Amino acid sequence: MRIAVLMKPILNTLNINAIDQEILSKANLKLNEADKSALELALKLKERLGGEVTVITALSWFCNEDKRIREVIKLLREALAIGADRVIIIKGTNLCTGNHVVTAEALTKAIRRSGPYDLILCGEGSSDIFSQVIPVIVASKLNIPFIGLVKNIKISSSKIVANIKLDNVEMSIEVELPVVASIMKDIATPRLPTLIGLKRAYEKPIDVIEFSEEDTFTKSVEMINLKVITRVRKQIIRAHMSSDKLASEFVNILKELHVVKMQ
Amino acid sequence: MKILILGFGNSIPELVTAASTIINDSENLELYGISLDNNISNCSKLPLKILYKLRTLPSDIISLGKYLAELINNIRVDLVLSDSFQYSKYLAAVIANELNIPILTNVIKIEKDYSNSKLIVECNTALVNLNIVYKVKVPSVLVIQKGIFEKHNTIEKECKITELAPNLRSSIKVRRYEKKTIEEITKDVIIGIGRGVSRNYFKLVKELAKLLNAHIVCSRPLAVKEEICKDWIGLSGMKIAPKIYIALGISGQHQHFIGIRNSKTIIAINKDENAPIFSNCDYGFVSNIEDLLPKIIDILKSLK
Repeated sequence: MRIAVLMKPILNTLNINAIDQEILSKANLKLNEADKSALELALKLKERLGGEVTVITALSWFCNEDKRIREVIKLLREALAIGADRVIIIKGTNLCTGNHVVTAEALTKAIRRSGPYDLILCGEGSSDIFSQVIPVIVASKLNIPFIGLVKNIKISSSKIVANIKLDNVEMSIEVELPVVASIMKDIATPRLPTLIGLKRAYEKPIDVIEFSEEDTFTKSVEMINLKVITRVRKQIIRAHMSSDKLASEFVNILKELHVVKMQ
Repeated sequence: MKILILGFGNSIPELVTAASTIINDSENLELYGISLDNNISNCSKLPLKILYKLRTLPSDIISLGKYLAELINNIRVDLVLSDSFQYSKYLAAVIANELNIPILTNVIKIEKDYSNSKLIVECNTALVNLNIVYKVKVPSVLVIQKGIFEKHNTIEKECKITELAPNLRSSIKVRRYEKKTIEEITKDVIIGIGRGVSRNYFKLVKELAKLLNAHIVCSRPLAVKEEICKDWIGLSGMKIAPKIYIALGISGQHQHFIGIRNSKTIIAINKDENAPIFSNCDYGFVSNIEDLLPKIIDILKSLK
């Protein structure tokens, strides 16, 4: 079975309270957790059914900076260390505009060029932008079925049976391969690399390819401002008090907020 | 300007408001709607030229997206506004791709550019403190964050309703199908419960909710593992903006906070004083839920 896993390097800024352009340029990248779960699922399938796993990444932050490409190569070497067979990284200034259709086009081209694949997997969304739309656009471009959000999955050599949850609907579906599937991150816990794995990773191929298409469409979206939102919460914390006292303070606050009537 | 609204019936009134924030001159605005369900009682008196309605939703989103893209192309719309339910979002993305137009998601604000040929669109990200402002050409597809725009008031005239029954070929076979009604959370007070609330105390949480006329929601770990709530609040779940959010035993990880960040007041109870929720709340109580909850309920009962 040939599996492609779409993995996104995301901004590692969760611990930064204020983010601005300057901090952004200093922020590290990390691999999106949900995509790591997708890779784990792919590796388990490879172990059971044989085949190979290719990781495909389109840069959407700092998408044409050499220093950042080296950073992403380092991150993806971990994917190779835990069992992926090859990595394809797509760079190009047009990927930075935030136009999801363009990013999906770049990924689709790489999939066509390196494929065909039986299964294309990715996580349910990226923890920085969380648009969730890239995999369904890729499926639409490849003209193959898309399933999301997958809670669990069974695969034989030619078809998938999956439980999916979409809003208020839960269903079990059956579909012939090839398929693009967006999986929920609880589906698998990513394994950690071993020292031997890390050593072997250096022998596996990492290709950096350029997405250079430039037409009016690639320029139809422009990121004009990163807006820092500061919402100051009161942060009045009550601790080290008896539960009687805490309970009465809690109710007093509800009174002040007019949730319960004053007496 | 022709704007097409796409979403489940209960989202359509707020998408009409979103559309009217772009064009406030109603004479220059022609609105069309596609409802993804039968729940259109709030929509029939909206200022829509035609409301298309789908009786059933196919599991094959790509086929439906291609079918709707053709319909939208024939109307020659300038803008598609979609709600942010998962199905609608996927569908909107297929439509954008088929029409070869851009799509932006998590949209909270739309303005016309001075040149009128582009829109200035502000989008939430999954990073707590960061929004991104884009300039986007029309035609385009915008997925609007739920709960940002008020529901549009209805008008007297009934709009024309046309049922769509596409005959789509699909390779996806449905073996089992379970559907719940989409829950609309409209209460002012919402109580969120997390892993810090043990199963034995759910009854007390329900009692508190009754006393405060509140709605109960869950954090994702609780919804996934315990299956008390089918839906959760957070980055990958529902996003809410109540007047008061009471977080019980919720640590307040970034993913959960994304779902509650627009709450006016956040009150938290957690036994761990280092829980991240305390850095992002208005009022925090460091205590065991088991000790505190019965006492709060006793006081509230005595006030009734």
